[in-house]
Amino acid sequence: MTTTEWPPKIGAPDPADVVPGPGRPRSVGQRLERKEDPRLLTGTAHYLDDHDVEGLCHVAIARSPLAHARILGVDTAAARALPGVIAVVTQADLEAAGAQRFDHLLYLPGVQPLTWGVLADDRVRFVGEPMVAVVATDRAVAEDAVELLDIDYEELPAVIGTDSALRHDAPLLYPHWGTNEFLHLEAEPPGLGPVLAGAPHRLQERFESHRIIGLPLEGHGAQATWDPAQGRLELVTPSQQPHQLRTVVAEVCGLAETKVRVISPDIGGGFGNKQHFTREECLVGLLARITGRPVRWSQDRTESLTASVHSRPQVHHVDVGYDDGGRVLAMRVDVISDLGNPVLYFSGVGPSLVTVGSLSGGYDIPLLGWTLSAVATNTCPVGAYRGFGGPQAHLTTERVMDLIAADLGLDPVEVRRRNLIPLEIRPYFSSGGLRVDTGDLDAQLLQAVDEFDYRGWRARQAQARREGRFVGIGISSLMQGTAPNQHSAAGRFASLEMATVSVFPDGEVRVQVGTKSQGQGHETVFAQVAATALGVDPQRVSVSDGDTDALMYGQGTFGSRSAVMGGGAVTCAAEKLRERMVSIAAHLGRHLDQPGVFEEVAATAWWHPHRLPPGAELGLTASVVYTPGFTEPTPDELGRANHDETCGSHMTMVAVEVDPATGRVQILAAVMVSDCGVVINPMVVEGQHQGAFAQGLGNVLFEELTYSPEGQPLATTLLDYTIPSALDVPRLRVVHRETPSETAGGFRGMGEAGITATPAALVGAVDDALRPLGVRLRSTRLRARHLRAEVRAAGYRPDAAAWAALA
Amino acid sequence: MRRTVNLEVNGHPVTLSVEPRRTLLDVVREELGLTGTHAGCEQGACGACTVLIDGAVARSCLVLAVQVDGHRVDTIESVGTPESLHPVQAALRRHHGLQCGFCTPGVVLAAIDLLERCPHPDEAEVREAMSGNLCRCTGYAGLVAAVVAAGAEQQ
Amino acid sequence: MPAATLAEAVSVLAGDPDAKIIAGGQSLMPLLALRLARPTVLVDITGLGYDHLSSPGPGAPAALEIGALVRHTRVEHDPMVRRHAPLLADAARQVGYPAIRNRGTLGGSLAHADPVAELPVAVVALEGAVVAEGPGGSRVIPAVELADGFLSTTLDPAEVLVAVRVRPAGPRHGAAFCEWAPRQHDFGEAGIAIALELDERGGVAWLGAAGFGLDSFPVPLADVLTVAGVRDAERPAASLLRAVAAAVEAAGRGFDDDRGELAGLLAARALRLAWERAEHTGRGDQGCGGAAA
Repeated sequence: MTTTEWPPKIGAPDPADVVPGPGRPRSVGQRLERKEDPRLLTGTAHYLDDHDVEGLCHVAIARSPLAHARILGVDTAAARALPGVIAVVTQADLEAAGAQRFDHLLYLPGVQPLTWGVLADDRVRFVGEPMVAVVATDRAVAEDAVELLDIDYEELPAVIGTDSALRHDAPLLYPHWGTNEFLHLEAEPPGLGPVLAGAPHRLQERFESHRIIGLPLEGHGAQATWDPAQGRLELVTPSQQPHQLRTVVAEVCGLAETKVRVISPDIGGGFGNKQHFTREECLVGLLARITGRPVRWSQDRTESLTASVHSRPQVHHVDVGYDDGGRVLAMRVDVISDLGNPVLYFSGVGPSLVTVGSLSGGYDIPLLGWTLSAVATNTCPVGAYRGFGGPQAHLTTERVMDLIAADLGLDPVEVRRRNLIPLEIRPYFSSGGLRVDTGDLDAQLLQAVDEFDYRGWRARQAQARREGRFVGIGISSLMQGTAPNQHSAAGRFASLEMATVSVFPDGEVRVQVGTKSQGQGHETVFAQVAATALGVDPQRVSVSDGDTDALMYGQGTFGSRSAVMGGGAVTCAAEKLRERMVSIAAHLGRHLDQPGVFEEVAATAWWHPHRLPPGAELGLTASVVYTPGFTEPTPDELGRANHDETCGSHMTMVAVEVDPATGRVQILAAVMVSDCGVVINPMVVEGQHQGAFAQGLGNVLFEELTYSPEGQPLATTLLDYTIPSALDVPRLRVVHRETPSETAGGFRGMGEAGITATPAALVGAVDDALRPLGVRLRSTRLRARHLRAEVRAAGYRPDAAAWAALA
Repeated sequence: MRRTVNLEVNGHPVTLSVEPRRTLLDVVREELGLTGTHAGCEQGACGACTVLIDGAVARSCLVLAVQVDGHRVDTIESVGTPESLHPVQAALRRHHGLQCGFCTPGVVLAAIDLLERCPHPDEAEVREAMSGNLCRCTGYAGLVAAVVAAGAEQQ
Repeated sequence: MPAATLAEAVSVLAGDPDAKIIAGGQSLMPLLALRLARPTVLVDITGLGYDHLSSPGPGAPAALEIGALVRHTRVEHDPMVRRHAPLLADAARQVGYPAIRNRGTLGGSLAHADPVAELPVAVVALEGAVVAEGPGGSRVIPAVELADGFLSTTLDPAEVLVAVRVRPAGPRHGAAFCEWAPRQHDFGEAGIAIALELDERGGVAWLGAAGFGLDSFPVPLADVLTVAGVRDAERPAASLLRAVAAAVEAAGRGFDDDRGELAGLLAARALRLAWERAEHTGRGDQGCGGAAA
């Protein structure tokens, strides 16, 4: 465990340097081209489906066609008889083979008990729930066999949506709960009620975030091989948390962790969709043991859309009291979170906890209370997607600021300024317990006002209104915790990260890190971090991740944690080596940064250790398990805990024009002033922001997952679930601002900023644009069809002649 | 019941015996071991499976292998190498036009196809031509900038 | 199986009710991948050679004839199509993406009868017809009688669509295909095809129009627009555009009122553009700005 002092010693000379050395290469901060690109560009990368092995068999899964049903019987005879079929497996077969059950492991007060098997027992609770697995020599044969299964159901009434799930007479997913509410938590600071009641102004609103999905372009999958000689299971799967998956697979398969190897190869996008430890991953491991053959399950697009991991559906009821100056005095938010069927380890509860923990955002809210009702419904399990509960909270917070501004006739930037966490208190603790360590939020917001030309856009808006056009401006003033501690959502797992940095005898450097890149450029950015700490060219540093045999522990990539935790671990390990190498060089009468000395020191440490200083450690390898140490897994009696190691802040502004006739939203400008601490590679950071911006934009303008009243998923292909194309996403201009954090290296993490900021900013902008029509937007639904309905409900009718004359 | 298919793949003559229901995508990846072409949706909506058939971009998930009997197919493996990138690939790298890389082979081929039809496209033309290649990671800015730049650098 | 001759194709189709034709595959393949269509045998007709383009001329039939196997890309770019049926080229330009257009065929699009496909609408607007060959020989089906519902046509299961004929452009011809989709290349929610020819006074001598989004098949709209006053007007004045929009919207009432309203707006725009092109160039062949406005 390593902590650094404040302010961090970045770029400061090594105290161990006896003689000031020549200039040291510093690649942190450079727009280095990515080292992973050559193989990705030429089709020579290795994603899961590219790992062909001799004798590989394929798995197809029979999934429930009904939202809620009892399984009365499964006749596998015809399926078994199909040539090419190797095995047909039910949950009973898996248990007979020793499969253990999943448990949610949550220790939150009042949480319902819940365990589930790898496959469904005798009841299915969402369309797509896996029931029977078929292993065959060929994927098409396996799918054919699935169709030959004869399964008898007794259909049960389904609950879709939290309203129906919470009715007193609602059908229950888990009758022994007596309710569909999986979890209920509350936090009410003393005095909240009276202050709300006595506030000079009060607003009560309902905000909704709708259901969407992360949708990485590569579907999920898993491939397992059982080695009976070693009693070892090897799993290849694009997992964002390979070491934690190892734990879960080992448990479910009844193996010690040392007998399981997880290899997470090149990943075609994760976004949280590949973060969970799922039934299918364990299924494949069990099937490999049962059949003795290597097996692969490859998720197809329909499976991914209907039966993987959904996210976001929440309703917030907000009650806010504020004064004449727009300063919030007290706020209560009742969060109702749809979990789907929560048979997903760390489930949708995780994001819901982040939601209630981020309700105050970057604002100093004197009194904040909340309730959380996390509800099971007969839909696909809800879980992680970039942002992880933050976007829903941020939408509410920003809408509140805008509504206060509108009510009082104040500028929405001004209202935000009056509520932002002041700089004077650091660390500042939010009402939820978040430890805020950011730089000057007010100055950052003003910088955004400047960079975006906010005044200019207000003037353009006024001109557009005179011309009868609908232009709006939206603001997102975001402060978010990063590098979270998973413990409260998973019942275990910590905030830590491991890295091993080794200098080889020839002076080449190898970094092994426990995070897992899914496209974020870790092979490059961690090379830059290690190279900077060691004082070498990043081209001589190679970085690897994803193999649990190569590095025995890690915590994966999610929650904007990799730079903070992976970067922190790499920094610490590399700095240790640097210190030792400086001392060895000095002992040899050299300075480490002189030409050839690095290689000489490396060779000495490994090949000629008799020349090392007395008492020096042999070799040059350092393993560090790092944590900044700021997080607390368990909340105190008021429900407060600091769940995040540090914070980032991002001020975003957008301008839009809306065509009320068609509902089309055109983004005219988008600027973000981003403070993610020390920037390792600005190009990579901008790419992350741009990609997250596109996802946030897609969230509100193009994407939605819906169900029929009977629980049938209505988006089953990419023609139903439409993600943005190159014609739909303008460039987000990113302006960098660096306030180093207190963690090793000074990084803050930022991967989720754009997806959190953008929906709030766009909802605000479209609401602002349509204000003259009397439209008020209260949800993330900005798709054209919805906006057409909204403006028509407010009485607007398009003039065909005027519209025909446009463009 | 298998059928014989004779085609040219990346400049080499190939003879295969395939079941009629197999798509060109399946055959390219499995029979031919050319795994650079990716399955993103198998419904023709995402472009990750893009190949060239007789020099024109096509979605290999929507073509049956038997339909290319007697035709020419080019995949990403015919474009550049890690040591020697094609100018379009180099431009994508320079402008950070890729992140996870899953859509990238399709993007490269679509971009090469565009630049052959329209040597110096502006941003709008690039966005239009690339709109059939979905990317979930990049948000397109670097991708588009790369193709514009590659066009500008072309003779 | 690849069909070597038309007779072979027809014979296989006639003998097996679950046999289906495959040409470009861009519409059929997604259905196969989703297991929504389960043909026993696919009859590949791409080798049958129906990829001709016959220009209208003296002594020839007064129609532009396009072979059923002509790919969308060719319909989009071929100078003969652009000259004689610019509406068709404009519609083809808005089909899917380049990769789809390289493979998809005109005949395939008409035979598939997707209710939101562009080309069937353009062919109906151009008073087109299709030539079908089947067990009973050859017959000509007016395009307006071809599609009769969601993915359904009046073609006999054993018939092969071999050619498409459309009315060729006369003098002072202008055309526009305008559709609206949430993302530019999505299936449109509504789309309108209008072609017209002006007389010496600048009024409309001939009008062809059709739309999608008004029903589960292309809806002919020339009569609707005539009743709205298009043939009596001297210019596309604001009042005419409003009348046209209202009339088109009314034509779709009861199917999907939201799409119907969009169709009305698109009709006003398409009419304005087609008229402008007829006035200025005599042969309009530019796109509508697509769905981006």
